[in-house]
Amino acid sequence: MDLKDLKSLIKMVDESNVNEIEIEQDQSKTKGRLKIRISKNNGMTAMAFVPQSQHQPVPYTQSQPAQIPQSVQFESKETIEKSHAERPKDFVESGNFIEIKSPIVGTFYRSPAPDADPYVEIGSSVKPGQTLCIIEAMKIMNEIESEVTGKVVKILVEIGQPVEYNQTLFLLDKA
Amino acid sequence: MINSNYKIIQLDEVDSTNEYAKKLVLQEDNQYKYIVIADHQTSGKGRLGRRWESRRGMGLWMSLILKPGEQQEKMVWINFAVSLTVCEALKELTGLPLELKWPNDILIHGKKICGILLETVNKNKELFLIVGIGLNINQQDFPKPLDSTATSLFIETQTVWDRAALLQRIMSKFDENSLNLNSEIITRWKSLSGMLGHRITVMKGDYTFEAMAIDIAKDGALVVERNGKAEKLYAGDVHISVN
Repeated sequence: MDLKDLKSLIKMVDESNVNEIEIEQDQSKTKGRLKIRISKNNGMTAMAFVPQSQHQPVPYTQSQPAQIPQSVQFESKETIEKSHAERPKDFVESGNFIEIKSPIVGTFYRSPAPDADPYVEIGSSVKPGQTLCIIEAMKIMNEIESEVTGKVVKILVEIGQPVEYNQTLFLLDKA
Repeated sequence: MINSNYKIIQLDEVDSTNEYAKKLVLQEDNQYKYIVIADHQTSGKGRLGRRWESRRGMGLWMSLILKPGEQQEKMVWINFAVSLTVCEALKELTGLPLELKWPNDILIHGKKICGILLETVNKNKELFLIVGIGLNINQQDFPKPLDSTATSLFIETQTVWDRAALLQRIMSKFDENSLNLNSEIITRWKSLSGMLGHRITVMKGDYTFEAMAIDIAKDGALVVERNGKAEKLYAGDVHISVN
């Protein structure tokens, strides 16, 4: 790899959504090993959330390592600290999407009874105060309501599945 | 006269007192500290929409409407306080060997005599808690297959019990216990539970496993020991194994 290659690599990373790239290469000519790491996040303390799969709940804490695609708007540190002091939010915004998270540990249900219609489906428009699902814990059926306006684009948990605290349940589109 | 703090709505027949209570909260303003009580529930329900057999005049089919505030732990204490209250009141009146089963069932000789189901309702950013209580009192029998899992005060004592007197005793005890809502409730609850130290079968969705029930944690979770490790359970059906 020469300087030209390195330059084009840096440009590629810069223009992409990739934050960090690490390359390890055997250099047969020099009999050594080349190791290059390009990172565009060094020293950055701001945080943001990206949509996660259901197996990777993201705690609403500042210590979360930054994984910041360029398309995501940063939340200012001040906002994070302020909202931390209050009751933790049951949703997290990232770009055009809002993640609705479980405030408790329990079992996920999409309808008030097994034979009843689900509270929401994919494509449903929701508004603040609208019930999205029930999380049952210790025979307390907790209605989980939306605090935001949006459209359901993804339901990340199956009916009857156990959920953890802060696990993402729904993905809403703000638009 | 039950209690000056609660207003009573007495119904002849209703689908479910919990459903009625929910509608009341949503349709009217500031409806809490109510007792909704019905002679007959046409769709009495338990967890997961399971039917609760609620024949006319045979039991106490009721729902309390409370406003617990935002504190999650308070809701848990209320949950334990309700089953503890009913168990204590019935023990004092009947002398029966009643036992509590996590999270809030009341059993006699392994059969269920009282079921409790709590439901939250959000209205204008306020949280309401509906506490549904189904207490089997004067049923002389239960249809199959319910007869193997359900019982009533009559079946256990061969005595007809006055429903109003039972309600009165339960509510005055609930008032007493509500004044001391703290983690002490769980300690008292444990002393009336027959399941700790026993092997249980846990069903979480499609997944079933055996474990030993060892404790109730301060947050209300059932602590079980499985393969030498302690594990906290917050949801799921729990059956006490008959060994």
